Amino acid sequence: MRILELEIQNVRGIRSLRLSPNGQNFAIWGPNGSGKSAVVDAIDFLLTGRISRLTGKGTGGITLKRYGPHIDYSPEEAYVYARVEMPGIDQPVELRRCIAEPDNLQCDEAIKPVLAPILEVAKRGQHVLSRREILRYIAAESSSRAQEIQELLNISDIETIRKSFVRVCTAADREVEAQNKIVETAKGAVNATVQSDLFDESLTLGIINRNREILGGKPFYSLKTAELKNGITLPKSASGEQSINVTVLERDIQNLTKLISDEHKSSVSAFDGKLRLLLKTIRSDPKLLRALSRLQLLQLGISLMDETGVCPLCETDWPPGKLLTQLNDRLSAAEVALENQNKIEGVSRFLKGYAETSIASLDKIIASLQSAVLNDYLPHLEAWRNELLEFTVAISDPLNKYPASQYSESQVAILFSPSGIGELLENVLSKLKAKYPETSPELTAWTTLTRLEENLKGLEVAMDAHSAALTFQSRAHALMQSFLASRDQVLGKLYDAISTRFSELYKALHGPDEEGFIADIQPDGAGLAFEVDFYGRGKHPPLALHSEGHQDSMGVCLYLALSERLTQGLINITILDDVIMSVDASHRRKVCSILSKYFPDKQFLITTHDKTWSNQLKSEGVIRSSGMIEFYNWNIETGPHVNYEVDIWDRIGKYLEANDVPSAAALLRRGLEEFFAYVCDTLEADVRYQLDGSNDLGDFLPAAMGKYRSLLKKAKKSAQSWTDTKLFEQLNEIDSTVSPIYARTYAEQWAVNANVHFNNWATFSREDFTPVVEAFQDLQSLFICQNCGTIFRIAKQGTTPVSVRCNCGSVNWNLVTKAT
Amino acid sequence: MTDQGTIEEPLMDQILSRTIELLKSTNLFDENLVESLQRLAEEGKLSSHEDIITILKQGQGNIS
Repeated sequence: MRILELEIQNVRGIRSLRLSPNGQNFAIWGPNGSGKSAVVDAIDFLLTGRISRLTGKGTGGITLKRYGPHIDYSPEEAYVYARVEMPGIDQPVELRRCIAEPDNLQCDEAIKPVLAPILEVAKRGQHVLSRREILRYIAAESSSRAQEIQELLNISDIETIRKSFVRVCTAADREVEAQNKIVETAKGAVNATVQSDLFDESLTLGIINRNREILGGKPFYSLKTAELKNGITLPKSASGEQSINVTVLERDIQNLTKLISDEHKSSVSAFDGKLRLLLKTIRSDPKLLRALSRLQLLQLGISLMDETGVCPLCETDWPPGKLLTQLNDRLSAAEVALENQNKIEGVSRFLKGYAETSIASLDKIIASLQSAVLNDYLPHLEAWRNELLEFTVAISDPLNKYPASQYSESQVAILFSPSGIGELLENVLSKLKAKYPETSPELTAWTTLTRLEENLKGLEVAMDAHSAALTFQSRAHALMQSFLASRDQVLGKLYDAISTRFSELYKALHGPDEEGFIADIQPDGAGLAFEVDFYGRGKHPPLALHSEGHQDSMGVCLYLALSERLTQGLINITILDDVIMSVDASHRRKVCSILSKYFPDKQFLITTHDKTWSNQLKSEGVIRSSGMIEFYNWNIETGPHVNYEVDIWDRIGKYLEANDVPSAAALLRRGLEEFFAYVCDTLEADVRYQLDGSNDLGDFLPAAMGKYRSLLKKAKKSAQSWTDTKLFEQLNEIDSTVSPIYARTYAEQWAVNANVHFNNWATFSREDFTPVVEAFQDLQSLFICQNCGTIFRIAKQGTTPVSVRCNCGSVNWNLVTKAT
Repeated sequence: MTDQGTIEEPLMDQILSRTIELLKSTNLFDENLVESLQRLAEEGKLSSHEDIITILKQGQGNIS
């Protein structure tokens, strides 16, 4: 798609504007705030129904309908119209979109199917490069570079989605951890019922079968929790018995009595002593303590790391993978600390297990006492239970919480065997036995099976939840891994394709200096590894060794390669909104040459606030005079004033027709000054240097004319030496026209005859000035290729001028004389 | 343009389609789950981790 005509009414800073690019490149230049970017916004709006600048980060509350129209106009009065050329359609197509109806692109219904894929690509926005900080993705760290490029590719959502998936994985990991704990607690309840320190399926199955046998049931060969009482019933003789089964409860009391037995006391004391010694050893060795503290920090850090490489604690940006490698290295170095940590965990696990089993039994006893209304014993037992609970919290994090002040060795011994607890438990048992006479073995078996059924159901529920958590965890990690693999595959393919094109453009930009240049662009986790060859000395990040100018030009080449790949030949228009400014002046001409040579099918809209660059675009033939538009004196009522730089000679002619010689003279002088300044640059003419840069036409014109004559002479000599008769004749013919044209301008006489100096032009009559204009028009044509319209320039090999050329190659004067 | 003359899928769509294909090749996601994820992607809600968690917990324990 190419724009032939564009009309903007009341959009952003534009009041009313009509442009006629005719499918050619065009440039808008003017100072900052002159309304250039409003043209970009208008084209953006026409193609997509939105204005990109009004969307994205930091634009909350800025709506298209409110801020899209010119401030004094309504959405209904704000529209963009264009006549465009489209692939496959012979006649120009008219498009119109109004801000009041941004989703409605008004056009001929018949062309909508052809238009659809173009609009689809336009919606992705890759045809507009409006970021002024394009180079951020050249010089940036790989993670932020990836972000920049992803924004350019309209895939910045990748990072948002990846972060969302990381959160899902973290939630799944936490859930598995929580469910693990619940399973352990459920196993503890089973252990209390079967009076075992460890969960043992065969032991539990044995107890179930023993109880089933008492009730006349067949044995089970595996644990089937729902069917513990299948095939058995409570004998009628036992069915009227009391609700509290003292025989079963006695086992809980036995669990506690076992805990306070001498054997357990010495076991608790031994584990506690060992734990204290380990903790004391670590705490008395600052290095070990630091290593252990760091170990925990390292483990925490590693668990929180995601693949962006950003430090999860201080959010410092690290290259992806680097921080993780460093943390893992340190983790290996902290092996001694890790060994100590494992010992601490092992010992504390035993103490915690004792406490949890005791709590499970205490819960049953307390519930029975409440049911039997034997409240006298409750305060002691409840207090003990709560102390044991507190202890489990402290022992879960021994390095930081154990032994706190309330846990001296003697206090821990008391905690696991409180004074008088044996006697109290005996009293509880005797009271319960008195209140609830001994139950039959059948009822005890029934009650045991009932309790085990409850325990095992609890365990089953916990294990189901654990299994579900594991499934959730597997799915979360599979989703994450699949997404990352897909991202790397899709982007890897894209980056491969653009690497080659990017290298080609960059080499063209920098010429022989960078002939062996190779770029390597690869996805690197969440980042983007970008390394480029440095004069055959290996690949390095652009920021490391290349100059700023080189980095800048890399930015432009990378964008052009990306843009070409992504617009897929459907949208020819590429908008460069003040982006080339970051390329140093010496390479801008090469940028022009790249735009013309490598992208002949593109229609570039280039905005700039730099007049030098706009003139370079013109002198290098990227933009023709008619495509150069100047914006100036913007004000809120009128928008920008526009200067359509039509052919200078037409405008001078119009002034003369109106007998306005002073205006014609001023325009001629300004136009010539600008033109010959470029000629001096492209032909490397010697110009008197002035520190304040106040060179005028009197400096440029004679220098350019003199250089032209000397180059022509050299070219003729060369043609003669190579016996290139045809070229020699062409040059001879040119030479024969030069002297008369020079003579008509009187330029060579300015130094000796002030009366013909350009300072006097304004006083001329129209009749006197017309021949002057014609003479300079002919003079200017000597320096311009009649085919491509570019100004002649010197081509060099190294520092040696070898020819005079234009962009299209029609002009090619060899300056090298054949060696004799 | 592709060789067939059609426009390429947007990159983001390509990545998500490929992700879905990879998920289908595992035994962790049944059709319903895949459809739910696809719908979430189409609605542009993959940035909502709560929605994803809800979907991933669907039919837990019934891995096909």
